[in-house]
Amino acid sequence: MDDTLQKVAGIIRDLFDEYDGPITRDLTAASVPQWDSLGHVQLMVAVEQLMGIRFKSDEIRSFASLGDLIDAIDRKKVAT
Amino acid sequence: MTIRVGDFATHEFVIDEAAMRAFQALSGDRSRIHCDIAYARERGYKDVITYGGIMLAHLSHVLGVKIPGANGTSTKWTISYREPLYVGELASLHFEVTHVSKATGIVEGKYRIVTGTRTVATGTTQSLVPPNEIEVAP
Repeated sequence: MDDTLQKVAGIIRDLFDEYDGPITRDLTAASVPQWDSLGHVQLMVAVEQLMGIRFKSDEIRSFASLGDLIDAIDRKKVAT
Repeated sequence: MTIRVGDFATHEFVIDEAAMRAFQALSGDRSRIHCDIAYARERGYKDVITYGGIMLAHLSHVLGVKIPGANGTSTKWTISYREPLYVGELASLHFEVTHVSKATGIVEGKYRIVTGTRTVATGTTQSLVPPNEIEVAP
């Protein structure tokens, strides 16, 4: 598991604590019952704080899978 | 008014006997530590301990009236009780904004409840607010 995915997996385990399935790039909100609209907002804020980055509103709406989120984080880390 | 990191608010309150009775009736919590002075003294306290839920009611006041105010919706609170707060003691709740996210409309804060030199409780909050009420430092 790469470094970014590992860090985000930690947030997901903490935030969506009823989910005990695998956390891979293919994971989507549909697979995690607690990952609803509020859960998505809380995930984004937790990622922003842990990674020291900021998302834009349209980015947050564009993530279709965990892999999309990981790629966006990595792009922002390279840019900073 | 916009909300930014570092904004703060203070709220003073006293939990009196009437509040204790009202909360007991509301919650049905009859724990002896809150109702039985002899029991509380046996355990080293000088009096019964006020209900922590009443302190959270005062946190609710700060969030709903001061920061983020009337347009906020609480999504998460944490609290750690550190020292007892006794009936009749003047307490102060100090709240500070620690993180804002305009993209998500989230405001996070931390708070501390003190009486005299004692810290009674500490915790964190998270609220959803309309993004146009959030100001992000450049």
